[in-house]
Amino acid sequence: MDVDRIVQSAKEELSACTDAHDLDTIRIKYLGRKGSLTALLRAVKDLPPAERPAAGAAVNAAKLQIEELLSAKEASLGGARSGSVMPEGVSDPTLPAHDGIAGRRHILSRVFREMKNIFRGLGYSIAHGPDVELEYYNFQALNFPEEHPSRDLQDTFYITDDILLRTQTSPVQVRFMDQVEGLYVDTDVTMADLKKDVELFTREMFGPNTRIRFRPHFFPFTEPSAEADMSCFACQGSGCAICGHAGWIEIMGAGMVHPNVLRAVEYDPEVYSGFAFGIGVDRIAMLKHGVNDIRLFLGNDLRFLEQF
Amino acid sequence: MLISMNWLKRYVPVPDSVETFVHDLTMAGLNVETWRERGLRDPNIVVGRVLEVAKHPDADRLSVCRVAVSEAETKRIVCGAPNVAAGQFVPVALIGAALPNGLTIKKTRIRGVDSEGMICSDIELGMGQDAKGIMVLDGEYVLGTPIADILMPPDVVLELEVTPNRPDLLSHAGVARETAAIYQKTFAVPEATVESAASDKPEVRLEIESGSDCPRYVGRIVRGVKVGPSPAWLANSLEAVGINSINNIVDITNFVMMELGQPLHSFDLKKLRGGAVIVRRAFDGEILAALDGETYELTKEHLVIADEKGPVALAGIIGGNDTAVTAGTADLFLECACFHPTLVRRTRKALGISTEASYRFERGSDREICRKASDRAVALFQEIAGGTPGEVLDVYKGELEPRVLDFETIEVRRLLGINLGAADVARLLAPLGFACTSKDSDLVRISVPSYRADVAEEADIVEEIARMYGYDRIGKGWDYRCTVSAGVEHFDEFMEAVLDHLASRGFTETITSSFNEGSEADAFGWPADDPRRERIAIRNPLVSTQRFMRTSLLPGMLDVVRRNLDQGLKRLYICQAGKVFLGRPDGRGLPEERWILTLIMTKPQGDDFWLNMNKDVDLFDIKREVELMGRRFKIDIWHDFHYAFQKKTGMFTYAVRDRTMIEGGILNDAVSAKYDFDQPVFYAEMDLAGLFKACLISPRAKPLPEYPVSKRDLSLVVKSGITWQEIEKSLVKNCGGLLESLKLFDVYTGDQIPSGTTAYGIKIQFRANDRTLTDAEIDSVIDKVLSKLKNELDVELRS
Repeated sequence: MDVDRIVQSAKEELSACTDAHDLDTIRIKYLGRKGSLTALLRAVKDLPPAERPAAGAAVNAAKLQIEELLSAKEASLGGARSGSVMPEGVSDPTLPAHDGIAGRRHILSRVFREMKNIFRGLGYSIAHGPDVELEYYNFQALNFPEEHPSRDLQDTFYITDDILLRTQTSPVQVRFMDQVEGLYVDTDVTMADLKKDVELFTREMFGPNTRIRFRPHFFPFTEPSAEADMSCFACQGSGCAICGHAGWIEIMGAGMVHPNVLRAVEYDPEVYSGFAFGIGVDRIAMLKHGVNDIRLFLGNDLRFLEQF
Repeated sequence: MLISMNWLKRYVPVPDSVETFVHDLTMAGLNVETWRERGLRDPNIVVGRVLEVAKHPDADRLSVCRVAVSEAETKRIVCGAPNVAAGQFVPVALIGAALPNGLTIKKTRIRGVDSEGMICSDIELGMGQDAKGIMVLDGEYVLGTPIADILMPPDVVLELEVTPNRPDLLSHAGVARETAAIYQKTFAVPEATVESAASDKPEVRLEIESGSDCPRYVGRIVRGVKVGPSPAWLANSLEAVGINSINNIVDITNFVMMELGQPLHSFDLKKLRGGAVIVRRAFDGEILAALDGETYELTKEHLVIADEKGPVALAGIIGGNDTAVTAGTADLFLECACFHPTLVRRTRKALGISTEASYRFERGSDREICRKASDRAVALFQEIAGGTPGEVLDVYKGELEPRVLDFETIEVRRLLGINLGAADVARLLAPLGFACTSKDSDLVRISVPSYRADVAEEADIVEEIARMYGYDRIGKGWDYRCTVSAGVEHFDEFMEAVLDHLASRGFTETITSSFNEGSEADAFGWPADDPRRERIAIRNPLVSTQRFMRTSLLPGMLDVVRRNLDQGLKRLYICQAGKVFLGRPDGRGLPEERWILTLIMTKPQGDDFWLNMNKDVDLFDIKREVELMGRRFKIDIWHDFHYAFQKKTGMFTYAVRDRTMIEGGILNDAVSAKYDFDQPVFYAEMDLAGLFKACLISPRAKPLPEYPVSKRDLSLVVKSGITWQEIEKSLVKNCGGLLESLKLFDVYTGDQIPSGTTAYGIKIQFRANDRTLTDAEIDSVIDKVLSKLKNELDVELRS
């Protein structure tokens, strides 16, 4: 009869099936809304009343048999699962799994770390310094004479006559934000070594085509002193809005450690030489990420912080 | 420092291209911050003469003028100025002329009368401030001459950033010298020689109290000057560099200052009482009414110029009103001196004044130039204002030894990485005024000019060489070395890792200012002996909200919360690691700088997500984050630190011995109200450096377990008043060494157990590292644990 033939046909198709994706096609063909077994089941109601129970039972038995065959085949083909994958009462797998809020590091921290990593790669060790400092170390030891206008180069915040907040080494820095200061002292350290490190840093930070230039400048604690510019990363030096049409962007102050500074820590400047530089993390972050208002960093508006 | 290119060109040739010049100056260390064009470029602004002035037929305030603009041509011009009159020589902008303010003159019809140009005012020509009427030219001129030729030739003004070590660049002569050196050219500044009329007795008695306060003083009388307006070239030169023209005498002294860098001052001789000029410290309480209109009360810290009766000027800073040169002045006493930089600086800072003169003196003026500058000014007086110079008085108590340095050329190689011989060094330095002699190619004897006080030793010489050689040329060929990092700063790594961990836990890192307004101590209710009350005050804060160094990160972070709430961001999990600054209890020495880590969690009620409905932030959220962070870094905060909870405040603390390591809980009502929070804010503040000491930086590997785990579940009924901490302690102690872990998986109160009790469901895992545990072994441990719980804490097994 029809039922047996349908079961037989399903068996043959299933045994020939080698791909789990085809199982759905087979399931629909026999058990779907327009499937052949479903059609038979529908036809039962048209039979004479006496024949209906037997016919119905036969079709249902066939349906069970095909479902079992399908399950068995599905299991043998792999990819099967048991148990629920969704919470109780939930059946829509397209529901959102999170509410879109993720934590993150502050952009200044990320840039700071990137800088530290670059300098570590260049052979530097990382050390933290105090923020509140004796005036002696901030000024005299760094070769600022007493009562000298060079002390006006930075804002100085005093706590007592002798104690102050450490001032910034580089004029491009904003008061009291993180800065990276580099120091390298040894025999035979030259300005060429300094320029090398500055150039390698800028290339690493802003791309391999970055060039640098040094302009003479004045800092009490270095001699010779320089301000370092890098070629504009946006226009490669041809001049654009970002670099104020200069082609160059000032990024740090640097120079060869002043002999008086070496003497203050009992290094013989006849034997040792060294270089120092200071870079504002905020400055680098602004350039690298196109931040045009420095107040955004300390504003901590999450709509800003979440952009990075 | 403003430099006029026209002025500079009188002393030294400069490149035609301003851009080239600006670049070359900048690369030699004279950073040009900006430059701008000045003056009248348009030849269509010419000298005209007003021939007739008639009233405008339709406007009361307008005149219709006939103006000759060349010998052959006249124009009809409508003019609104009240001071226009026939016979005047005036500047006329012809049709098509472009004015400095951007206006282009067109033929217009003004109330029915055609106007063929404009008679210009000072402001319209970009000169001065006088907008009341048209500019009337003194003297007679050839009609049609471009005004630029008479008044203001086209110029470029550079704004130089002069660093404080280079006072020698605060003059056109100084910049000319650098320019000459950059281009290997020569420069020349006019030298004046003045024939003094000899006199039998000095007409002024000059007294210098201290050669240290006043190393040199050159004074001179000039009699019979005629005070009046300056010639156009002089007024224009000064205006180009930002100095207003006052009268010919004042302008000449200002001109010499801008030319040579030496400030000068003219006194009205008649007003100097007692025929004496005394350079001395002020007496406490002396008063000076100065030229700026202010009256200053002086002390013995201040250096003054005085006459017999009292101070007449603040030395090196500003002159006094009573002795000022005025229209009626005929005889001058001209001062050209050198004052001690520190003294000038201290005085002008104490009195809150800053002048062009003090700016130069406090940076250190060149005492060698005083006589030359005096002569130059006197010669200009004679040329412009007439007058007869008297005998020069030159008191030079602080003459300096010439500075000579023996410079080894190896220094150039050692510091710059380039090879230069003695001849190269001399060639680079000579144009800057350094006299070089060399015995051999390795050693140069360099005598340092008096105006270069900044050059004190070999490294300074190296900088001069580097500047002239070109910073750009250093380091070519990359003859440099390699270094390997000496190691890792462990705390820095720890902090980065902690912040990364918190970021992945959903916290956003903030960075806030190190300053506070200082009102937090009372708001937070910190106890009297809390170290956070030992604030460090800033003596000179920029704003009152930044008067103290922070002793807690919370105030700054709560500001962040407030600002974000205002922006509609209501769910905030933020964290910050930063230093706080705790004063020593005795207030002396450097403060303690302590690294703190602070977490804040806040979320409004009803801010739900479908997967996590009705879950508000509570104490356990903040406690979880604290303990999890510890776990991540191998600090068992729960077991190793002493935990205490204050029911009243809703705060917990974790302490090690007596030191509080972590404080957390809910923000108190007072602070919440201060910040106007309408949702609960939970926080924890941690001693990050303390945690670092407690953490295991470099853990050692342990063998993985070889024998199976044995698990037991217990359900305990606990009477109220007994805490989990007590139960856990008892469990840990009595399970002994076989205990691997225990977990509280259920807390139940309700109908199933007696009222006033809580049921704890606990999973315990046992393991031995040398054998498989038997059921009997575990049973006996459990029996012991239960009987101890019963005895110690009245805890029963749930039936």
